[in-house]
Parts: sequence; C-alpha cells; structure tokens
Amino acid sequence: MTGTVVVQPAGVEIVVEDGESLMRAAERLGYRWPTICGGQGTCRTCFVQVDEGLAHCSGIGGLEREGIAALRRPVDGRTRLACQLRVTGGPVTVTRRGVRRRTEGEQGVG
Amino acid sequence: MTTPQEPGSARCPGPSVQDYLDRDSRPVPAVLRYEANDFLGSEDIDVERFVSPEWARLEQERLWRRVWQFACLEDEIPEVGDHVVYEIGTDSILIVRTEPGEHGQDIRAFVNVCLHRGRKLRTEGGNVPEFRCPFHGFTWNLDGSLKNLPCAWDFPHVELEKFTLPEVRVDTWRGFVFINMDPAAEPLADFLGTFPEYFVWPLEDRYKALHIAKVLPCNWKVAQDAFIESFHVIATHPQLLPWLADANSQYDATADQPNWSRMINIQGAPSPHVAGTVTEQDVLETFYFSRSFYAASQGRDLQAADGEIPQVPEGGTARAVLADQMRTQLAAATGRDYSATSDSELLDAVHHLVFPNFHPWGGVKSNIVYRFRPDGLDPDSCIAEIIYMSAYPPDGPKPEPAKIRWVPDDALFADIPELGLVGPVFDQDVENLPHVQTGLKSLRKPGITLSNYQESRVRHFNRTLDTWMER
Repeated sequence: MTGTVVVQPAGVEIVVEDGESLMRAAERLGYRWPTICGGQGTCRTCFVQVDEGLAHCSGIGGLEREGIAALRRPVDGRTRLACQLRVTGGPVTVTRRGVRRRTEGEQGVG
Repeated sequence: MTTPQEPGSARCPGPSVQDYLDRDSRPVPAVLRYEANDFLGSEDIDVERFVSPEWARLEQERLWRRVWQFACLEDEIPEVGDHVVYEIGTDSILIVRTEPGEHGQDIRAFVNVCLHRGRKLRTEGGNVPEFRCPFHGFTWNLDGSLKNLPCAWDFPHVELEKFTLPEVRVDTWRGFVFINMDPAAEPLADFLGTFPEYFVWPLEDRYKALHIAKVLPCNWKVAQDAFIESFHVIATHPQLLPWLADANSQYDATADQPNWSRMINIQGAPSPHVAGTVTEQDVLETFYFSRSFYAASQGRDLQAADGEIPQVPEGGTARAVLADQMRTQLAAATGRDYSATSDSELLDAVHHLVFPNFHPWGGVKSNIVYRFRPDGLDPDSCIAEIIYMSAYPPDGPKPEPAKIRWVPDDALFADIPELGLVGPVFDQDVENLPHVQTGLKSLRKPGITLSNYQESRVRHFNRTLDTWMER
C-alpha cells in the first residue's frame, strides 16, 4: 500500500511505494534530499520534523533511534530520518528545508 | 601411624567424587571418570599480581593483547551488520557479522577506533550497514575497508586502500565467539588443548537465558580465584554444608594442559565436615530448603512438586531421590528426555576454567558461565559476569539471547530473582573480595599460601599466567 507525504515548506507531494523510504521515493521522483551517507541511516543528515499524520508512520528501529538521540531530539516520532521512514496511507505532513527538484544534469545520490 | 606421603597426594578422608560416581543410578559419561592432578609445588603466590598498577599494565600488554578470550555469542550477531562491542582492559573490539569472506568466515573483528582522531567507532552493539565515526564521519565497510573519507582533498597524505581497520582474529567454540589480538597466535583449537574433548554437553543447543554483570572492588584474579575451589564453602557458605560435599571435591589440573582445569563437587550429599551430624533425610530437606527458598524457573534449582518434600526410602540416599526429582522437573520444563541422564549430570557442579577467564559449567541443568575481566587498568576493580545457558523445548524456536544487565554497586545478586540459589551464594563470595583486595596490601608476607590439592587450580591458573607474563 502506498503512502502520501507533503513536504513543507516547498509543498512538494511525494507518493511513497510500499517498503520504500521517504528519501528514496523523493529521489525516484526527481527530488534532491539532503544526505551524506546516501541513505544508510548513519549520517543523520536527512532528518525531518513530522507535523501531522504520526499514525501513518513506520516504527522506529535501533539504528534510527540512535540517530535521533544523537540529534538531541526526543524519540517521540516527531523527529525522523527520511531514509528510514516508511509511510502507509496518509497524508503525512513533514517539514524539511532543502528538498528541491534536481536540475538538469545533477546526479542523484545513491 | 601415619605413612609419609608424596606432597600433593593427600586427599580428604571422606568418600571421593569417583566413589559417588560408582554409585550413580545411571551410566556416567566417561569424561567424568577422568581424574588427574599434577602436584605443581607449594610455593607462595606473590601479592604483586593482585595489587600492582604496573602488573595490570603489563598484563594488558602481555596477556590480553595476545591470548584467546571469550568475547560474545554467535547468537548475539545473527544478521549481517549485527555487532557487539567487547571491552577488555583499555582495548575495545568490534565483533561483526559480515557477508562470508573468501574462506567462508562471516564473523570478523576489528579494533573499535577511528583511524582519524581515535574516537571509538561504536559505543554499543546493534545493527549498522557501515561503521561511521560520529566525530567527523570517516566511514568503514563491515569488512574493515575504508568506505568514505570526508573532504578527501584535505588528506592527500592518506593512502585510502591502506586505511583499513586493524583486524582482530576470530574463532568459535560451541557457539561462543573468541577473539585474539595477536596475529601470530596459535589457532584457538590448539590453544584449547584437550578441553573440547572433556566438555561433552551441547552448549550450542542452548540459548543465553540470563546475563548479569557487576563491577567488583577487587582484582579480576582475586575474584576468579574465589570461584575455582570449594575449600571456602566451610566458612563462606556454611548453609550449604548439609548437602554439598566440599572438602572431597575433585580437582583436575595438569602441567601438560596449561589452558584448562576442572572441578567436580558432589551435591545432594553432605560435607565431610558435618556428615556425622546429618541423616539422608536432613540432606534432602536442607537441599530443598535452600533451593526452593531462592529458586526461580531458570532450570537449575529444584522445587518441591506440589509443595511436598519427598521421603528418602529405607536404605536409600538423598542423592538418588534428588536426582530423580530433578530428572522429572527438567523434563517437564524443557520437553526433553533425561531418563538416561546420570545423577551426577543432574546434580553436581562440574566447573571448567579455560584460561584466562572463561568458566563454563558442565551438566544438563542450565549451564552457568562465569567471566571475570579487568576494569580498565585499575588493579583494584573488575567486572564479574554470570551467564545462564538454558535448554528450550526441542520443537520451539531458539529464544533470543538475553541482554546484559548491570547490577548497581549498591544492589545484590540476590536482587536478581532469576539467578535463584546462585544469587545469594554469589553475594557471600563477593562479600569477601574487597576485604581480600585491601587485606593483601596489609599482608606482612610476600605471598599468599595455598593448599596443595584443594587450591591446585589457583596455582595452575597463576602458573599459566606467569608463562604469559614472562614471554
């Protein structure tokens, strides 16, 4: 089952496939998402703030939990790593600056 | 008239372990019939090794950096990327499950330190796809090769292909993962000597049901030496005397097998110190009392079925009755058949020490494993661990291994109900240890004095340690 995510402040809508992370879905749809490790869950650069739709978000695993704690954020579902976050249904609204459409010739990461 | 004896050949006048095994209701495994003890002298053991900071520093360099040592269980790292952090003295080692390498090995170990500024890469276990240093982001693959060096333009002096994590050797025995930091060390199988032939119980078919750790204010060898002899039962655990044969325990320690030794003590039979004052029914009832007082469903302690204490039949022994009860209880708890299992394997303590600090107990009850480690380079502190390896129903899935639980300084092992009888008994042992550690510094003779037989494993262990320290 797919999920829908609206990324603010750009207002970009992302349809996330079953089993796919939010970051992967955005890249597949031609967006650039801030990351260094390319989606391994280790650099913690891709984090988002979840504003609405917590109930549609996947659970938090050990690696993501460690990352959120390292960001000095509470592990309460409001801060997530986009490379680990799966979404079912929705819509889920998140805030992440720096998500924008890849320009001509720009390479996707990962 | 007493006849002069060879030193070290005297034994307690009570019945021997082998006498009890002769009377077992079932055939006893051949390995329990083995009995061998070499007299290794009567000299005092120097105090320095227990109290000196310089000794602790040299031990790190000459022993821990070169010897095979138990680090973790294979079951703790089942999936690729699963890893544990094993700390020994001042060293930190990453043990990780990887894709199989060219020789099929899929557990590897590395020094757990970033090659850039020396931060530990991981501070706890878990599952990761790569090892990324939290300081500047230097990243290594699970096979130790460098994956990413941030701002590589600023490191023209670093050869990326050679910037791999230093590897530590890994081998396994019965599901236990051993590591060795010395590339020139002999293979684990050679190091273990004949030990694997004598440990006949299928530890690999058990799961880690309990893992308790506590920091103790004493040297790791002071702690360890307290658990490899039964001589101390007379004063430290007087409540056990009616049902634990202590002074007539068997100690197997030989010069040609420097890396392991064994102790068997008979349970469900009285200590020779009190044998004249107890009946078979007293043995049985005190056994039940001390067991059920602390017992939990951890597969070690006997609990009275329906609260009824059985009677020892006319001419029978407490040991035979207790073995039968344990046979029934274990079968019910695990769904396995113990009808052919000897009384000895159901009741007795069969304790092994594999040098330097791995202590697996034999037998068919939940197998205890002790480990004693130094705490950094502080000669006055150590980490003591108790692990239970338990059976589970043969048709069920193997349960997940228990996570380590640290007992706070102000808490007791008795506060961990799952330890059962071992908890309060361990507390009695631990009560001595800080007073040994401080007492050794006030001792007015250069060494401690050991008995020839009952403390022969203490001598055997310290003698092996000497060979490592002198190399």
